[in-house]
Amino acid sequence: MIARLSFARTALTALCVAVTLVAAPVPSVAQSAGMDDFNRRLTGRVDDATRQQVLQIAADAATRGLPAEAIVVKALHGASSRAPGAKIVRIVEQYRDRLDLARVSLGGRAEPMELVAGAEALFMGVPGDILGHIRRSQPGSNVTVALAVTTDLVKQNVPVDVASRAVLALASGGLSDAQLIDIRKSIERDIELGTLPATATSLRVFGTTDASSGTVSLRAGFRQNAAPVRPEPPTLRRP
Amino acid sequence: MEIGDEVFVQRTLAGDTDAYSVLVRRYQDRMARYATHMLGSADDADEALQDTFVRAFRSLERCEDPARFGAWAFRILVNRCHTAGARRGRRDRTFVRDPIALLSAAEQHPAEQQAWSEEISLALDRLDASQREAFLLKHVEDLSYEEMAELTGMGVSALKMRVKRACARLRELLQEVHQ
Amino acid sequence: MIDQDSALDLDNEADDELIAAVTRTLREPVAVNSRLEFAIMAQVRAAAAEQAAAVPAPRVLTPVPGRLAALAAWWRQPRTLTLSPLTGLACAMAFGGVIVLSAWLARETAPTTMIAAAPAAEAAVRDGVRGGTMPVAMTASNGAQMVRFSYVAPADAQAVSLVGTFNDWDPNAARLTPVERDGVWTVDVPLLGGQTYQYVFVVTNDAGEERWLADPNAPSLPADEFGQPRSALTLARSSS
Repeated sequence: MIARLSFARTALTALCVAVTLVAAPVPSVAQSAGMDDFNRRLTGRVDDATRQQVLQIAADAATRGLPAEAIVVKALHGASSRAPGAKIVRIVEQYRDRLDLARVSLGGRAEPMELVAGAEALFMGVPGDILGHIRRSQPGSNVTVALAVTTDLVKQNVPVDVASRAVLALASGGLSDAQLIDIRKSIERDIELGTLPATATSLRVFGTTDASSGTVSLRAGFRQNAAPVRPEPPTLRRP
Repeated sequence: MEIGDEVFVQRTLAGDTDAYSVLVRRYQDRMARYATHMLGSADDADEALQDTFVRAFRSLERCEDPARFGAWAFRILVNRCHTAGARRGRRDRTFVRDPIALLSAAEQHPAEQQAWSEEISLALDRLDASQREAFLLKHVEDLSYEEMAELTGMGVSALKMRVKRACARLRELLQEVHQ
Repeated sequence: MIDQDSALDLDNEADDELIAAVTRTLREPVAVNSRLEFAIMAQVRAAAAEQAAAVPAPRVLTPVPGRLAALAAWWRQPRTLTLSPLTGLACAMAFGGVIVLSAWLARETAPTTMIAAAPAAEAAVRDGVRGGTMPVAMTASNGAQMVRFSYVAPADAQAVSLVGTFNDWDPNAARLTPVERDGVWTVDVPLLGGQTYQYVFVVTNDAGEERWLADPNAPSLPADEFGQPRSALTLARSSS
């Protein structure tokens, strides 16, 4: 009896140990190779302390399903900008947090480039719920370019609500990435020539200055040769 | 009588690229003045002017009134400077508490004039970018509020408020220097 | 009830002595870089050359089997041609004259600056092109698009590099080479479509000073988190 109990205890202990070993996270070969590559790229570009901290942040990002590659590139950006190590680490941490928020907004299946584009959109002040709307406007498709175009418009001082409404309307209309970029370029040209950013966007996308109409005028969007609407430029007296 | 802008615009469009240099020389000084005060550095102003003139060249066929090329190009510059936003690298200097009156109705010593210019530049630095833009367009470029409204997209009342606040802030900053 | 606009006019800044003095000072001319006009015109000439250059896409002729083989055989078959010495001399002189005339015409019409124009590629390939960046050719293996970055650098530039998210922001990874005496520098970089790249030009002058300069042919962007200028290029995927 005692022998059987002893054997049972031993077997149970062995079983527990086996389960623990199986359940414990074991770094994969691929993950180690990735970190080695990050380490190699950071060496010599930042000091050792910064390198260690960045690697830690990258590893943490990877466990959360965030693109660690983008985190390392952000650190290298700081290195080339000759930013102090502490500043690099702070900015990289903030970037990781934005990537995380982008993942929450875009969903767990978002691809790395979508997360990078989402993080940039968040940096420019596009709210997280807009990212979610863009995601839902193109189910099953990659929304990297749609996010990028939204951000590009905001960078040109198009109000966030006008930019996002425009991109949502275009994306829902089934426009391709190439077409989205084409329209963005047209809007940028109009802005360069002095059309107000919101007006330029509304005219190109909706064919009207009232962006709240919500109805996409695809003909308006493709009026490549149409002159933008411009108010009379101010008088600049010739010297 | 000076040859109008439209002559050089049309010659440029016809393929005489050198004709464009006349337009550059004609307006670069005035545009440099605005860009320097708006952006806070000669280097940034240089860059803004290059951007502006190149953009204007690329889009020259869209200039609807070639006789007023200057105004059209200036609009491009204002947008460019607006996008550049607040001055980079705000200078780490405190205001000089100089007991000598830097502002004088009499002719000033060059060193005092230089110091006064520097104080004004520092004060502009401390303004909000939109107030700085409004102040420069109104008081330095001498535009009407209606013209400013067309340039910036802001309402006239809002622009007047920005100019008023800019002046109040400048007074506050500079009267500490002026005894 | 006081009209709001009138109320704002009550405090007339123009009468303010201090504001008037500030305005007088700000209206004075500022020093303009003596090379500014040169730099502007160099870029303008480069832009003009870009607009003027129109390289048609090479036509790919689909050979007709059989007929082509016969034609090729006809061309390859040696033949005997008999010429008198006088006729031969006349032909040689005519041939030489054609060469001289071609060279003279080329000298007169060659553009002073030349930026390689993009081939007439599909619209999807041209996405993201703006001025100083353009696709040069497609590389089929992984769908990467070869993008040419061009920059008109200041006259005192000793080195120009392209740094961005595609090369670890490494100034040694993509050095531009000068191609024209008007200060045009270029580099070709393979990029995958379907994403946005951030980049900037790093220009080193003859005093060894480095400046980060945004692409003047791209829309201006707010500074990045490190306070540096930057430009962005979004490329569509080649299949979209």
